[in-house]
Amino acid sequence: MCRILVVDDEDEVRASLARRLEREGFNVTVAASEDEGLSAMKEAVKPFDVVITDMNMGDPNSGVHILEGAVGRDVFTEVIVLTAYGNVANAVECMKRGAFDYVEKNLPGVDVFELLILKVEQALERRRSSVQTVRRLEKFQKEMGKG
Amino acid sequence: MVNPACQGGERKIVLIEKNIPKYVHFGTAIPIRSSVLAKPRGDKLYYRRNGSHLQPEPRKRHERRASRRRRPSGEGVRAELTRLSRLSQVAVSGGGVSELLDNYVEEAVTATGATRGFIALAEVETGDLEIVAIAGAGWTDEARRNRLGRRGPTGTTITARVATTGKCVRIDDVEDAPNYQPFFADIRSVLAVPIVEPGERVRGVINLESETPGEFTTDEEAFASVLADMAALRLSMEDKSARQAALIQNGKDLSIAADADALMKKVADVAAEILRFEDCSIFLIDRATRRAVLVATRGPLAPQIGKAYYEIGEGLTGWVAEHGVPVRIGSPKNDPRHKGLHQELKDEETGAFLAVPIRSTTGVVGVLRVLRKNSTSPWFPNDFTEEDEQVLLTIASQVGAAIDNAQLFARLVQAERMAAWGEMSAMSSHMIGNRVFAIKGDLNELEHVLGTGPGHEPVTVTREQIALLVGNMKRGIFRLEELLREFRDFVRATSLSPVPLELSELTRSVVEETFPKRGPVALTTDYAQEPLPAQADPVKLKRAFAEIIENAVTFQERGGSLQVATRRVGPGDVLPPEVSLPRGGAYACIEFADGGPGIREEDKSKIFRPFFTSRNRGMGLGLAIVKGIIEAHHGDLVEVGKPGEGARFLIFLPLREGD
Repeated sequence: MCRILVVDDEDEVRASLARRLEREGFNVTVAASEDEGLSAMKEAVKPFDVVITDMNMGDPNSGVHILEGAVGRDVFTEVIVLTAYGNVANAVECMKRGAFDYVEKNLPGVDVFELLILKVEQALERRRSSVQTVRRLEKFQKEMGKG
Repeated sequence: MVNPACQGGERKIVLIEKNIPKYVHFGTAIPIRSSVLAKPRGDKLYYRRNGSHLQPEPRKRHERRASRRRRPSGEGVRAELTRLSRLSQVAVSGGGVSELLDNYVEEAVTATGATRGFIALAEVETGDLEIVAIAGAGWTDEARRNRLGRRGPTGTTITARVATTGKCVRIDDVEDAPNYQPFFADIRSVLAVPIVEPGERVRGVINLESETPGEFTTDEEAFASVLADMAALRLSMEDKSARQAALIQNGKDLSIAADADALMKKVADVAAEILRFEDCSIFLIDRATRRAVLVATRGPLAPQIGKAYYEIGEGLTGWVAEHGVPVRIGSPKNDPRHKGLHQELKDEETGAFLAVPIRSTTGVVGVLRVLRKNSTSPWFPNDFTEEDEQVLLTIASQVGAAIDNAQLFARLVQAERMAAWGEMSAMSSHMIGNRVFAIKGDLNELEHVLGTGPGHEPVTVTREQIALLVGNMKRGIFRLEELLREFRDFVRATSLSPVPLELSELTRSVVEETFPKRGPVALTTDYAQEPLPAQADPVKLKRAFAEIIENAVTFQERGGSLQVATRRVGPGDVLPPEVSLPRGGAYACIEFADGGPGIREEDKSKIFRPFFTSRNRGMGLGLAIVKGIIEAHHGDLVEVGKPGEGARFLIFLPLREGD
């Protein structure tokens, strides 16, 4: 079962995200701040497959810090950043640093929860393919070594 | 500086100049006057002005006249010197003018041997002479009234003649003066000297009369003239200090004024009353329409405030606005620029017109104009003087500076709010965005459970599940509305609709409306005995006070206390160092002290900033709104409680006084 961490400082946002993701059958963990999120990632026995984090939790760079923590724990963890509508500068910065994508929380006329589920599935797909690629590479190197 | 002529009383001096006020100056005149007082009898020395000195000059013998006085001894001269020195001291002492004039008329009667005497002053607006001080025998209320009252043409009495010509009149025997109208049957000789102000305007007359023919000689005339000069000096000092006081008061008012309209009215009052103009009006140029609009006036134009206007260049007022140059004329109706659009007085009533530009750093921003009525006395000039113009220009520059000040203040407030707006838009997209996001999540879930969403199969759903989602959405929408209200209050905090109100009464009513009567918090109130009148926006102040009361109640859910007190704070009272207010004004202090946790030392500097909150609701604009409202009233809000002992908020608001 896929493991997803949701980091957001707003109770309602966290609750609604968790509810929607659980409906898809994901194993969801929630964290209410940047610090909680970072320690949740450190303490997890097995790294999270996907981390969904709010960009701004008091600090406008909270999302960047979570991304760094996630990639530091496991390079295959995919991070999706949630941003306020029209404020994508930091999100683009996250993309440059390797985030999977960003989702604007308040896109007019869009059911952003469905969009997010789509992104999560794409992220999981990329994670799977990355992991497979690496495994194939490892296998290939092993065979080359034998040969 | 004792003139040798005076020493030992052996040589006597008599001034021969007729028009004494032009010749007698205080420095040189004292010894001469003392000899004048001595009623010389023997040989006389005549002194004539030669440059700045009085030179003795032999002249033909002055006609000798019987005197009841003894030849002065050295003692006598000293006594007279003392008397004159005392009189000059009285002139510059702090006593009142009427006291001084009483004193002088008494001295004049005693020193000249007159039967009675009086001092009449010109009433400034109309030029009518009024008796203000009397001395000697035979006065009745009726005599006093009849003497020069407003009945009959003033030009016919001796007093009026002196006032008109500005020259002394001496009648040795009224039986030889066919035009003389006696008010007292016993009168034989009369002496009347003008009180001439610097600038040659006759301000009044000292009138002395005697039962003895030929009682008054040039000696008495000289003495009375010296008294008149001293009185004139004092009167003009009085005028100048009144003007100075008015200008200082005006400056003070302008620096602490809370309300521009009331202030302009006050400026008009100060100009008209203390500076003795008949009416005063202020026109300010509206930036949008480029018209000089009436903003304050005292007289009949009052209903036109905010309506009457001049185009720039239109009429005399518009001309001043266009050219930025004062206009000082006698009768506006004869001026080609005059249009007679908005007039405080009818054309034929207007005796003098003075309009000066109000300048700010951005150029001419308005016109201050004053009028005087026609004088009813042909001799009394009521033209505005150069000095009047200077005083009015000073007032205008004070007003200009105040307008600059107000605009800078408004711009500063605006800049601060613009900065807050930037933060606000980021904050609101974050806070409102999150609420909407959560509501959309609930809608998404609702669609899912109802099976109406894209690609959803209906699932088993209970009424409770639906009710839960609906409840969530409701709460989310309420919180959105709360944010909107806070947002609106913050934006509107500084736009006020002030009205006159009493602050203790207002506080009392807010406490009654806001404070929960059956809650766990104990309320004590202590309202000021004296009224605390202010010009303030009651709706905004109620919002501000209510916020503080609600905070106190919220932070003491398990019981506590709230003390509400109001009091007056004068300019001399010590205020907490956190308070920043212009000095010199009186304020109301409204105190809210609670028994809650108080404000932590590290938070004290932050509590009034926007978006600071220790509660999990709203945007944290509450106290920022309160601060904004109080500052817009030109007051201040501080928190001076000790952490752990409860919060103590002090609100200072300027009092509306003196009207």
